[in-house]
Amino acid sequence: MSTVLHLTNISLTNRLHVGSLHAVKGECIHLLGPNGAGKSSLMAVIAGLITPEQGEVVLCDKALGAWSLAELASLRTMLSQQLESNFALRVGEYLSFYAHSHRDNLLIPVMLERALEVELFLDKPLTHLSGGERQRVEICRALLQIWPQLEVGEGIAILDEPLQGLDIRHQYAVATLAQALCAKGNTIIMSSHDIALSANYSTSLWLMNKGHVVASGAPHSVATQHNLEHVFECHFLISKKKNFLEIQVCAPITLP
Amino acid sequence: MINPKATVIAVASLFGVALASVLAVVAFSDSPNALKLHILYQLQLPLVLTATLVGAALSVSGATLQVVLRNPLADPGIVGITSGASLVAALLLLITPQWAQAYLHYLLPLGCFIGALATTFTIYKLARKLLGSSTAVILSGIAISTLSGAIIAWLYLFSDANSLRNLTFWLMGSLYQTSWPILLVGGPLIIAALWYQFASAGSYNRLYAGDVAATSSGVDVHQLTERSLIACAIAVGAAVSMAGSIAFVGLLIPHILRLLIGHNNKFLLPLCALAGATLLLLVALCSELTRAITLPVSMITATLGGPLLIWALLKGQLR
Repeated sequence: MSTVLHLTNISLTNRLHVGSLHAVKGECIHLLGPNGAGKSSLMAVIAGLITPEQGEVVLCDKALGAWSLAELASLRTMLSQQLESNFALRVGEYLSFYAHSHRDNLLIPVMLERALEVELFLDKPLTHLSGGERQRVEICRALLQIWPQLEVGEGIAILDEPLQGLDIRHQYAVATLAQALCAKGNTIIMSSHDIALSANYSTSLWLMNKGHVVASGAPHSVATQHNLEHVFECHFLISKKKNFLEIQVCAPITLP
Repeated sequence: MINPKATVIAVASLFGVALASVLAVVAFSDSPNALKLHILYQLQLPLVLTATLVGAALSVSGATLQVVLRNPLADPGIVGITSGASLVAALLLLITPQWAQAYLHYLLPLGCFIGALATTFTIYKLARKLLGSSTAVILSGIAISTLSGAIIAWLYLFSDANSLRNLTFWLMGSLYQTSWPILLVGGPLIIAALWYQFASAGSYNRLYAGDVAATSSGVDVHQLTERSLIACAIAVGAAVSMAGSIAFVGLLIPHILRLLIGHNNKFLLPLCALAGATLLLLVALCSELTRAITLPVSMITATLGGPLLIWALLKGQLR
């Protein structure tokens, strides 16, 4: 498989220092790390929304700076952490502004609807949704933007904490959706705070701390007791059962 | 949401009726035909054109500002564009020396236009120095409006009775101040500025999802914001130089229309233009029917608009 993303010596003062990092087509990468570790900054750099002070990002064999906004828009999508909306527009209308379907007929692809279940509130104003419902709509919006690419397995989705605020059923549904999209050949980079879920629903983990990527690779080699305890400052219990990594958090090490 | 098609038909027919009624006031009067033609050409057509252009400029710019600044409260008045124009108008009306009074008719629109652009520029620079956010634009707008208001109030103290009456009318708006030369310069400016906003409607739609989402979907948010502010300043500057400062239209029309046809700017902006034009034509009709007393436009827009806005707000809350 080919490399879709390659980062070399990226740096943003006081926020991000990444040596060399790459993503292979079809990978489902979960980004783990404590608050302020630089996960969002790294994703914004990869999405081309922040230009790093130093270093180079190469996306599909072309330097990020050489892509036009419009070209990028059809290839990759970015879900940022939730923003307030002051307008009470209907969900259906909101999604249609980002969808590629014809005119007024907004069609939610079956695969998205099965995981996100947004058709129930297409007629509701955006402002009347609960936090989790809104998050499902946002994920749907982000994926609709590049749906033609995702359908043929050529898309790149960068999702900043997509699981935030979702109920447990939808958390697993979204993680499974990400896996299914990657199985088609798409590449997904998403951050998460659920270490146990991420270790089992990703093909690789990037573990971040204080602006550095401290470990990256297959989940079982990154989610080790040593790595996790060092980064999250908590005691962990990790056991391996067949293809499943069971990770339990016991108690924080340093909190008073 | 009420049926969008029905809304479009209703607004369009109301526009037609208002237009016809204004013209009919003279056509069915008992003046001789030659006089009727003269009135039609010298008074009625400029009046109708002013009402249409100014109404469209104010309501479309209001709708655009609300989306671009992510704030439903934005309005050319609140953002400070109108106040800059008014300040220059006040200065010119009160300070212009005797020998230049003859040119005041042309000086005034030009000055207003420059005033609108200058305040927009100041507000934008100030906002970028502050937080760079859309709230900062509104805060700076309010600061600049307050300042211009204060200067205008000081000017009141030093003016004679005649200038004072002029000024009051200017500050409340009037559809009878234009002439053909001003319309021929201002009209194309307004049309060009509105055309830019209509053409950007697809990008405005993306802004509902926030800066990051819009940028990631290919919209250059920074450039769009800058150009839209300039387009609004040009449209509103030209509108103010034609008809003085008219309150409320930019807030009222977009809010009611969003309730009726939804938030898609591709439909909303053109319909705002039509509805804004209709509202000011109705105001023109009121003034035509009460020729004996000249009614300030803002007075009528506020009288008609206040209750409508309250209805719209209540309906929006209850949904």
